[in-house]
Amino acid sequence: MQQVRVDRGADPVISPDALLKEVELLASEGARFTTMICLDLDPEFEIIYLFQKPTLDVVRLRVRMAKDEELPSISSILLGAVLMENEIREFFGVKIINLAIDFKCRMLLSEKSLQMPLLKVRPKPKLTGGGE
Amino acid sequence: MGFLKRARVKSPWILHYCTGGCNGCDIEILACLTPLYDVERFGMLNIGNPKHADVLMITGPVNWKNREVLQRLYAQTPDPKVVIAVGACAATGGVFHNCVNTLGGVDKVIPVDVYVRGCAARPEAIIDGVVLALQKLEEKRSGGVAHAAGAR
Amino acid sequence: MARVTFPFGPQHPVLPEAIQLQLTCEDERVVEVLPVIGYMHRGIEKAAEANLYPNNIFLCERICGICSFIHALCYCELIEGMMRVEVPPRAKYLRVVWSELSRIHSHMLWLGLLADSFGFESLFMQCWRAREIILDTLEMTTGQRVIQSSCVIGGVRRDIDLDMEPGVRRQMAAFQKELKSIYPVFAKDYTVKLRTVGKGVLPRDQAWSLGTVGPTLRGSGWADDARTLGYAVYDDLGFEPVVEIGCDSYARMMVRLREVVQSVELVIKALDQMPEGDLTVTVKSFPEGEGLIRVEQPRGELVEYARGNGTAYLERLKVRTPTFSNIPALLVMLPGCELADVPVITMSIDPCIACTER
Repeated sequence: MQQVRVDRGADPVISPDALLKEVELLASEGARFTTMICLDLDPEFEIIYLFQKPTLDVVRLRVRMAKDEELPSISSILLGAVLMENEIREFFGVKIINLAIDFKCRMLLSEKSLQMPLLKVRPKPKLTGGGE
Repeated sequence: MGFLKRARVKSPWILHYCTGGCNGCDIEILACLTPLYDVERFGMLNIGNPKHADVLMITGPVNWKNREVLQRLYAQTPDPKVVIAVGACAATGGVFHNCVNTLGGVDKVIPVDVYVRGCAARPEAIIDGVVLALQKLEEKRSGGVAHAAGAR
Repeated sequence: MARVTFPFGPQHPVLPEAIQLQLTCEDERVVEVLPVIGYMHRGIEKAAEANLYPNNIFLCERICGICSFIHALCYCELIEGMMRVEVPPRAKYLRVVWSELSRIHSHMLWLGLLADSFGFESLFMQCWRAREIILDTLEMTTGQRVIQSSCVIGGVRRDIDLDMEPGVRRQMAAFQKELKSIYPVFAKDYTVKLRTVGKGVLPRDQAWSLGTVGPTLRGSGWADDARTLGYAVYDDLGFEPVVEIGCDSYARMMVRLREVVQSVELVIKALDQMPEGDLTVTVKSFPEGEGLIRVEQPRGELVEYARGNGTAYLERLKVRTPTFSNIPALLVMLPGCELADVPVITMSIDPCIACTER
């Protein structure tokens, strides 16, 4: 049986600056990008990176960052991450820089939809209604 | 011209477009074309070009990005035309009623003539819907109903 | 040579769903491709936070109508794992039966659409006729053709009882007979080979590093299948992943074709070994903490993550669907191909856009 429950304490927590170095190390060991999960733990973001080793094992990496901090894109190392990074930027407003393919926050949403829909706490309510 | 109009009712050409549902209705629409249900024996044909179509078969709750595509397809289809909304989410939003990016139904964007029930709609129900749509098409052809939004 | 950029989709006869590929061509050769998605986005992840957690099963099933049972299974196994609920063994076997039946129906659907994409209309019809046998079996055992709604947290809703079991076996035998006439056409036919062999090559190392999953990855020589992790009862059934080393559209097609044969055997084996017992256990607690699960869908590995806080609402539900990881592979496969091969190569990753955009 696979282990479903995740032990929070067991994962390494790093800062955005150390991310690229860690990912480069993992990529040199043959790991590949599986997915990333963004959590809005007000007042900060927690982003869980999942990588898969050639043996089916999953490696987790957590990044804690303030909401206005910049997060470097890992798409230059692992191109497979580019869609997920675009999605997180679009849904949470995480400032991800140096994306390999930049959809400019229009990958899934349109101008008229509610912007940054997955945020728990909205920055400031818009007076002119968006998509809803 | 009388020949063309008559042929239109006898052999309706269908344009199918998915506006963001779950796919369940789309594969059932395709299943209608395959040997078990085989709607081609009634002259119905699934085509890709809206300019050749008489019947628009729309599934899904319509999202904001899809809205313009749907409006364009509706405008490109020549009159008289009928619109069939297939499935619960095309009628009311269905299970996606509280999703942020959906508009909640095809009739929020274009006028709908026939609603097909079910989530996912069964092929029998879809064929029923097309038969009903053909009656509407004939009424529209003879000028009986000018605008049938929300009927049935 | 002048470059021309033109859209492929969102409304296109070969695609049942809406995706747009912006193709830049030199003469008849594709040089650049940009996928434009978003035509099917609904916002299911947000709605899952607003629904009660048992109600999310119905939402998860409708992420995609083709593999809906496996989406429900994934969500139920995730919540059960978070709440430490042990599902009765009979329910686990029934889950395997239904998820393998949905895999067969999804693969047959895809094989038909692939035949359609290179214009082999009668093969398309034949695949879909064979698929109706599977849909009849699903309807007989669960009550619905495509969206089964038979998985609940703590077990399953319906049973395959003694009256029904011989019927399922008969249907599987009928399907095997149909499959026998379809298999050699895909595997050996001259025209099918001409359109698939060597088209859309995805080299072994790139398939891994781009993050592709499922038949797309297994077609490039990697034995990577989440069923080997042993969720439900796959470890008791002696499951082995299907691998091909061709790296092209033909290899990916053969993986799916052989998986259909394998799935039929898994269904019969699960029926043979199925123990007696209850179908559900009562679940009273609420999900708490974090959970992560990987499940094999027809299109590849489905990753779900949930975070609960001890109430009836989830704080976050994240669904990483297989097509989402397979789309970057198109950026490697399409450049350099002939324009006429674009539908075949796009179909060869089995794109499910409703899954991708949620």
